Amino acid sequence: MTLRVLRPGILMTVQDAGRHGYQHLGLCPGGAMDPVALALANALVGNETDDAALEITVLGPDLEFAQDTLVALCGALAAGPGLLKKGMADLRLAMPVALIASTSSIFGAMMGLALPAKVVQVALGATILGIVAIRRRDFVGHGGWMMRGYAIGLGAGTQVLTLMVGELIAGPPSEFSRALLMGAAWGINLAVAEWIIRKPPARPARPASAVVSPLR
Amino acid sequence: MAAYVEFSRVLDLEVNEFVQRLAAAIHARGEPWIRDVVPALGGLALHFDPDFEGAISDVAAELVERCLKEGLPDAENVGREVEVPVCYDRVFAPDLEEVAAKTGLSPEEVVARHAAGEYRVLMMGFAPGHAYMGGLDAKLAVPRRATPRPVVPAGSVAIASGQTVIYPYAIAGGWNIIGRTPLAVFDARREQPSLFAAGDRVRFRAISGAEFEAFGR
Repeated sequence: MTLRVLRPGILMTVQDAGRHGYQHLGLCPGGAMDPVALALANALVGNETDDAALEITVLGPDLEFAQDTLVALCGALAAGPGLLKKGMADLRLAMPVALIASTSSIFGAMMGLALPAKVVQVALGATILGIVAIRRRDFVGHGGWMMRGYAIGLGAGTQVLTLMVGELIAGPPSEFSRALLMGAAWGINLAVAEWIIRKPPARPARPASAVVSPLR
Repeated sequence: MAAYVEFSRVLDLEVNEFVQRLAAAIHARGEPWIRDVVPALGGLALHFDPDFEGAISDVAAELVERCLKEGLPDAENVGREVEVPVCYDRVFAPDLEEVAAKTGLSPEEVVARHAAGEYRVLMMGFAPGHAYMGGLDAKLAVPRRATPRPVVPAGSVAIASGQTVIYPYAIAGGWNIIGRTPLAVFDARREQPSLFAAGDRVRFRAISGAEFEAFGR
């Protein structure tokens, strides 16, 4: 056995691409909520793109791997850092995870929320800059750009807040004020990201070599 | 992504028959961008491939008009004939007495009228393989039970609202149970997983308890 589920979290299910073409017999097709992330995760570990995977929502599960296992984590999630903290993954996994998470969160946002095209380009630009920086072995710069990419990709959460506050103060928003509030959310996320990037580290940074070694 | 083409908001067996003929015509065209054609009581749903580009409501309307212009298959050529053995013994029919009391018929009369009916599957839904069948004898019109049962045995044959159903699994149900079939209504391992599909013509054949027990052995 490769994997044991210690705690399933909230609504963790096994999902593949779904069974389509049977609704006329009363069958719900099911399937992954984010088919792009499913295909991406499968491709990364060498599966068929519609193979079954674990779909994880809201709270992550506790999983125990009984042997060395190749896994891919995709979709709009922020699980990468948590996995690192618990010693469940190393940078070889976390780096691509962060990149994929931010990219597919943008794909997810495009499909689910229909972001304005310009915003999507900015977020992708930030992610791509992250890749350029890491190729020059500039880890501090890479981290910063990845965080800016995240900040824009995960703007939807803050938008709920700004739209809610805006509506409480000024009533139902017009087309213009709505755009303004949406924009404000990305502004807030970027400001927080900048603050985190520029904040001096609380304890001395580990020597760069310790961080780099798994990547060699 | 789906379009729902509605013809009637009330249950009308003639409209439903038309829906089945239209669904068969659309299904036979095998359009690659349609994943599923799902007939309902008074309309049908067309499920589109999510990659399909175009206004699906316009495309759906166009498709329906084209089918109507080219002509629909006759009702006799839509669906299959399905015969279902049913044991109406009391052990399988917890609501038979109550239905008899409500309709003013004897339990034997209820069974005879139910078994003599010619039914048509109006739509599938609620659970995999669960068929809503129209054509119930007007004398057997009873409402659903006031309190549904949390679990109904698989194969239970039940009536309510002028229709009859067979529960494919042990699931919750509120219809009046008057018999049970030994057949597996739905089995995902079969070539044809569902015993029924919308448009099928269904007859029941009364069997004894001994025949029920011997079934599938």
